[in-house]
Amino acid sequence: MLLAAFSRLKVLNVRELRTHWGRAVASVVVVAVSAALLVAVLGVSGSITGSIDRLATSIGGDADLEVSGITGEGVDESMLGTVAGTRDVRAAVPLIRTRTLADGRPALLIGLGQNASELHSDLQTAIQRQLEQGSPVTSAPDGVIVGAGLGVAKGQRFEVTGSSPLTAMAVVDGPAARRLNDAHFVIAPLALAQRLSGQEGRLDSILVFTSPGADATTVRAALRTAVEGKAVVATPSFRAAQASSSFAILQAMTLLAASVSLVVAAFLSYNAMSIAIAQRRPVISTMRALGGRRRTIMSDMLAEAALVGFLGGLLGSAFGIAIGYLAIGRLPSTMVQTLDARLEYVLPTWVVPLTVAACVVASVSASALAARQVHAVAPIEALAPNGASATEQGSRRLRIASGIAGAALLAVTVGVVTAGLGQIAIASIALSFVGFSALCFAFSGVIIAAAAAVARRFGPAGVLGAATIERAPRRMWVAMMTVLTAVVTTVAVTGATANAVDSTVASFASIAQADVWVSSAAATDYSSTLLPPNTAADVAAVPGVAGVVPDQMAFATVDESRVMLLGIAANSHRDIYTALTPGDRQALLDGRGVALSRDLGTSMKVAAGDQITLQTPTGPRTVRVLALVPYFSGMTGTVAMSLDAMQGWFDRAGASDLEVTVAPGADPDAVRAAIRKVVSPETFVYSGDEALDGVASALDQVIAVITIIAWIVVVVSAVTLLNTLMLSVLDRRREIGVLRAIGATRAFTLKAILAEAAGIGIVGAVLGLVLGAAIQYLTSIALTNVLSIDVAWQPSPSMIGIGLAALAICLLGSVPPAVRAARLDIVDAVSAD
Amino acid sequence: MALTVDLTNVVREYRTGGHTVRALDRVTLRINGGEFTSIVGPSGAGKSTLLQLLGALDSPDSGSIQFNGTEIATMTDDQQSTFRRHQVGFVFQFFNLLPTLTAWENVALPMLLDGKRLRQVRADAVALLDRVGLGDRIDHRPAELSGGQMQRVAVARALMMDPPLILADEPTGNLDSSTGAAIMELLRDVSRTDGAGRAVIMVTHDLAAAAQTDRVITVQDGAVRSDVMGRGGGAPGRPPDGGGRHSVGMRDQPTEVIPTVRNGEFTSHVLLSDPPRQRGKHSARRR
Repeated sequence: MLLAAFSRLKVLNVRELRTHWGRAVASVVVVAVSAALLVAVLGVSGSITGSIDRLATSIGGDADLEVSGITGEGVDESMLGTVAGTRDVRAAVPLIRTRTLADGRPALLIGLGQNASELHSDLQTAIQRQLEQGSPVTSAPDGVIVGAGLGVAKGQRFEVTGSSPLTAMAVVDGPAARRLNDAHFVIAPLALAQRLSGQEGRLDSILVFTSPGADATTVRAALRTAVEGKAVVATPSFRAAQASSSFAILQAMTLLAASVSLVVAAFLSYNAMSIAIAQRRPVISTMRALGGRRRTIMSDMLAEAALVGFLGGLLGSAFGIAIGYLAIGRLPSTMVQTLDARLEYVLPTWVVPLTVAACVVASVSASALAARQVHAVAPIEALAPNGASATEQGSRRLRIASGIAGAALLAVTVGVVTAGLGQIAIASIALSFVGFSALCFAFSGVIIAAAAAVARRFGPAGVLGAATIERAPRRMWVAMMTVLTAVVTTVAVTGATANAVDSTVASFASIAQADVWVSSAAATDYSSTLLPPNTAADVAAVPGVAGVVPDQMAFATVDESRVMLLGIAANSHRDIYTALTPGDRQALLDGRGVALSRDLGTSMKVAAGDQITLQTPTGPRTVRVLALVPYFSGMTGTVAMSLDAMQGWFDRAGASDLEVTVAPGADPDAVRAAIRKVVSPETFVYSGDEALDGVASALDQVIAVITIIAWIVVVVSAVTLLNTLMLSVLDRRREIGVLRAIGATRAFTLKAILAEAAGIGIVGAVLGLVLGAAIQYLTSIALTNVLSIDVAWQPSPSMIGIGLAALAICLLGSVPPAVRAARLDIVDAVSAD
Repeated sequence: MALTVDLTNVVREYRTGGHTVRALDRVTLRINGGEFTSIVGPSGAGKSTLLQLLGALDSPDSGSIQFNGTEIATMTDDQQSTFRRHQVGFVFQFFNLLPTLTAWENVALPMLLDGKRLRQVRADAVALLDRVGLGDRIDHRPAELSGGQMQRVAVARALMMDPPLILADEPTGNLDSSTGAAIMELLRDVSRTDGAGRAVIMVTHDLAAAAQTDRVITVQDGAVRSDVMGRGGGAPGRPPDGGGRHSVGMRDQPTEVIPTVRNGEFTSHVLLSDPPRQRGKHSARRR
């Protein structure tokens, strides 16, 4: 039976696809787009978490727990004894692990103590020989072991950032070394690594191995008590979980585009199937007359849809892998800044099968709705002339059911979006596409009547066009929905993205009010490292500088999540501070409370007035939440406190940024140039506007991806529209021939078809703009929850341009079939079968 | 077993725009295997409706259609499909070949729809094409065939499942006269040489073609006006079964039927080659 079905698929359906290859390619492409997005976004997130996990395993092996610093400064070395002395801790291995540059190449600096042999990991395997020699890692004072990926030869002298030259005593390669940061590492004795990384007396982490039979949860609790809240005690996998949070925003936006494009692909699959059945009606009726069962014919059509979905899924997956692979090396620096692992492309094995399955299901499900039209093809139609096809509007019962289903879907979408369910709300936007489409089907009678009314406005030719629209309501509905889909997608997706970016940039607007920023990082990066000491004093001494406001940024672990800490001083232009009431600002500066970004408050389930306990290197600190502020941090959230509190609690003296006010009358550019001369070469100096541009540029990549998706949908919709209109003309060859025979000019025939297209295009575009704006509004609410800022819904004037472009595409798409109709040979057309 | 198709008081009505049109009005009729029958009549007479019901393309509103004793009037859609696939072969006016299939694949199409693999039935399809004189065109697509060749492919397709009943709807309607004659020859050959059980029924406006068949059923206004054995030279004349309006039976006498239209009336002259026991002009008034 399966072989017979395959035989039919090959002979009947695949050949039809090959005959109408343009439509088939368009269907495959639109499915491939959504598949590519899904695979790309899952590949990138899988690579980030996979790379971190792999590194953690490569270093720690089967370590049960890890004690690490709350901030990037690690823990005091004295904590090693505390950890090692905790009950049921068999071994505590101290580590330095930090990013560095080895002769300009990114590398991971690893510092190992005497008991590195406890690790039983790729790290230990890589340096096994050195360990077996019974010596410390190396015998030379500046000797290190390097991974083969760095391209450093044995015995070669090279430099690590900020150090004097080192000697590569050994170069290790092999599978174990390759798994360890792709052999891009420098392994040094602990003391040397501490000196190279500027962390004398400190450790990045302590790997804990429990005694056989000990309960890791009990040991964890005991360690937490032992460290007195001054360190993070977690499983080594927590780093991967933290890393995924840095990707959350891009993931949210791309998932939105992927889910929308999957719905659009499903709708266009429905369209393609409707057109296919209309075009193959004579063939289907013949097969029915010859004894083909409806069930058989329908299942063959669904198999065809599954094939298209499968091909699109495979093709898209291939592109998605390529896009993901390229994207890994081009992620915004704000997303990779906190990662110490070298990002390698890691695609979870389930991604491609899941994506292909999703594409097949979407294609088959959408096509199944259209394939039901096979039931309407009666075998007696085989006795009628080819091409005469009845296209009813769809039963009243079906339209009512569709209306109810559409309203229900929209209600669910609104409910999910307003409930603030994060990324689920983003994915639910795709449901709104389905809901609106169902409503459009329910009101198809009204919509078709409107299109006909518009066509009638174009004179006698328009009257004919209107008659054509009214006579084939289902086909015209399909054509109109194609226009509508393109407009809705463009308006909703690009509009919502633009709103999100504009709102995000606007939320940082106050940083542009600072005349000059002096920072430890570029405007596009997080300034989490401290400026050299005395930088503030040096800058304040520059002529033309009226004031210097320091602040500090750092990453910290709060509730096992990676958050941003902001230490604020008076007169700061940081938005999370300026958004507070004057009373709350003073309370913050006095150290009487902290401000949380709204997303962090939601995830911690706290509100203004609640108390929270922050783990700090100097012990736990219980503070009051002054306010939850809409603030975009690109992580899981931000905690803003006074600079004094941050310096004291987190043992971080100094500042990472300086806001500089230029004296009245002084030239800001000249002052900036003067500041550059007094600061260290690694320090960045830029204007307030440049600081704001830096924020915006990180989001540019997201906009580019979304815009490309929207344009692909538009192009595919145009192809589908062209097919639909061409079919409409082919179906009416005889009718057109009769018109020409009784005296209609070619120009009249052309105008009639253009009027038909105008009716479809205008109504489709107007409806598309209205629905697109509605979906854009829903998306702005969903994004508000995900981005932790208030995304303002702002319909753009460019929407008018989008609507006009859709109409233009519709008219242009109708020109080839209109010209074809006008040029029909009258005799051939009248005798057409 | 010889084929027998019995229609008893068959009624088929169509409702369009609030009006009801009775396409067939209590038709009673028997079709026997081995006959080459033509159904003639003016446009709108009910010829095609009768053909559709015989082929289970449609179901009557009332009445009975027994195919070798099995009632087909009340079959479900799936049962009708199976019935058509195994018991009926269709030849359409516009050939109805699938444009993307080659000639042999078109012939094999019923087998494909029956769950067979194409490769399994290729030999049978090629043999049928050979029989209809297209052995050298098996891999040609319809676009590469002439009208007559396409209709031959259609005839071969109709024979693929070896059905006892062949239904042809205006098989020569789209062909020139010489090609049409060749197709008629083919259909007659099919009715003659495939055993005594196969019946061929043809709906046609071509009165000359009808005159070549064994039996001519004239339909007008939904009723059988006459049912005579023609000069087809095949099966001996046998009385048609009564029950319908204005049925006429000619017993055991070779006759020549010349259908004509005179003064707006559809008329068939029955000319007997032997001294007549019964001679008459049969007219059916067109309302």
